[in-house]
Amino acid sequence: MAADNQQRLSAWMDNQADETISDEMIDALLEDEALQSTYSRYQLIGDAIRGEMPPVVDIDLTSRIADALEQEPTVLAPAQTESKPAAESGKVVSLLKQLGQYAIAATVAAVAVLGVQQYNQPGESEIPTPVLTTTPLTGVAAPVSLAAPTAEQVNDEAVAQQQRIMEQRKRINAYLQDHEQQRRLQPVEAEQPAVEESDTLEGTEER
Amino acid sequence: MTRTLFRSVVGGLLILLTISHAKGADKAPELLLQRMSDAFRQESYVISMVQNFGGRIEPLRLEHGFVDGHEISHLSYLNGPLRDIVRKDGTVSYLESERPAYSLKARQMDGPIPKPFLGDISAISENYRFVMGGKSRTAGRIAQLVRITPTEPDRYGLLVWSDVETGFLLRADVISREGDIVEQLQVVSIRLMDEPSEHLQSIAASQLPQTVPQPERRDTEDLVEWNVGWMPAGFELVNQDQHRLALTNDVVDYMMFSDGLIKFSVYINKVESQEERGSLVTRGALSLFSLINSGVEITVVGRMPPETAQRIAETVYPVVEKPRNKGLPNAG
Repeated sequence: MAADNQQRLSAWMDNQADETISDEMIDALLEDEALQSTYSRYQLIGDAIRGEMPPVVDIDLTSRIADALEQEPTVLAPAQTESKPAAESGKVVSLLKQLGQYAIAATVAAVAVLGVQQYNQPGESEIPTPVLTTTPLTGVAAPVSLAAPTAEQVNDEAVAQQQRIMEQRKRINAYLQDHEQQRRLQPVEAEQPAVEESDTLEGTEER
Repeated sequence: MTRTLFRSVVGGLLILLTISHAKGADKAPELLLQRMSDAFRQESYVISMVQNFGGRIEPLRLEHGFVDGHEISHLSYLNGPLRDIVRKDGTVSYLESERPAYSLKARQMDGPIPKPFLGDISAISENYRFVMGGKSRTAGRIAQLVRITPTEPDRYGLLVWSDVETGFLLRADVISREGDIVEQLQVVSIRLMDEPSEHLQSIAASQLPQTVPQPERRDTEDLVEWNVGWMPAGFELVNQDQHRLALTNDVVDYMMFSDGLIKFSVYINKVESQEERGSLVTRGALSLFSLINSGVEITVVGRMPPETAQRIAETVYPVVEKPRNKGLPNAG
């Protein structure tokens, strides 16, 4: 169940949730400290992937912001103007220098994609929603852990079905990615025969 | 007698004139498209544009110029994970957060603008007809419409708007045979520059990722041969090999076909599942159709109508009797 919530959170953060987030979910997030720390961790990962990490990584950002807000709300404004030139300069040159970071980001991205995919499945409805919605209302861990295994047993087939769909999605992504790759590789091969005829570019796709 | 001769001469001249005039009119759209690719290759500019497909919006920025005689262009995807394509003369580098950066030797980048519009438009004139349309206001400029329709059905057409003043592409719609817009590229602003920007200069000075050597062509005679029973006329086989898919590590037999404007891929993959099924995925103009038939998965991917992809996939079959005369002399 916790893993499910995390996926939900991840999808929500990436604006990729199929359903709009419910009030219960927000309440749950506000009450659940573990989920909150997960949330901030996800945000941090997202920042890292996008290359927007501050020079000094401040893990406990929320409390700092809260402090800052208490002292002087306008502190946020100069910080924003400062970040503007940074965003503009974040062009290729810096990209080229940061190539090494891509590999790390890639692994994280792969995990994120998997999580979202699982969440986005149509099979989602197979998981009994009442259990989900009652979780925040009761606010106790015990009923959830009790409910979880039974739900799994009932939905063994649904899980298998989900895995099949996941597998298929992965394969489809593999083909889409490879097609793009092959298209990029193509022009060079096309150049050789094209030399005899004229300077024609072997036709290529639009994207 | 002289009068009839005179008449026939005048008549012939008139016919000649009309023919040459008609020819000139036929050439006009092609010349316009040629002018577009000249503009893309010769000018220095920054173009902001938006790509629109399947309910998604993709903002992009394309910068192009010359630094010390080197042609530099930079395409940047502005939303989501970092994706950049940089071209320095004949080397194109792909910088993406999803995988390590790499460079390829290529004349044009694989970006949102159809490659013939950046290169030689006559490459597609065999399979597509160009027809002049009307003028309209696009991206705040006066634009001339050119319709690019496939000579054979079963694939998408293009509507292209070209800036009357500068020749640049201002808008391109991929349209289905019914006239529905499948995908759209809309330029928002064009800024022409006299001098290359600092940004382009810094790219020119920077080190691009290492060029990946071209994968060696394997001897296709070692492969099981597959035939595609049907495909729209005008497509030709441009590549055939066997390679691994990066994501799943599956080994696939692979073929690529091109008609000058679009390319489609055919994948043949052995799978354990015996259950027969087909699946279809579309993203804007891109269609993927996959079917499993007696343990073999056949997948067709390309920017074509889903029905076409399905029809192609359904006609792929193995060549049963494979001539093996090459191996025998070596053995003996």
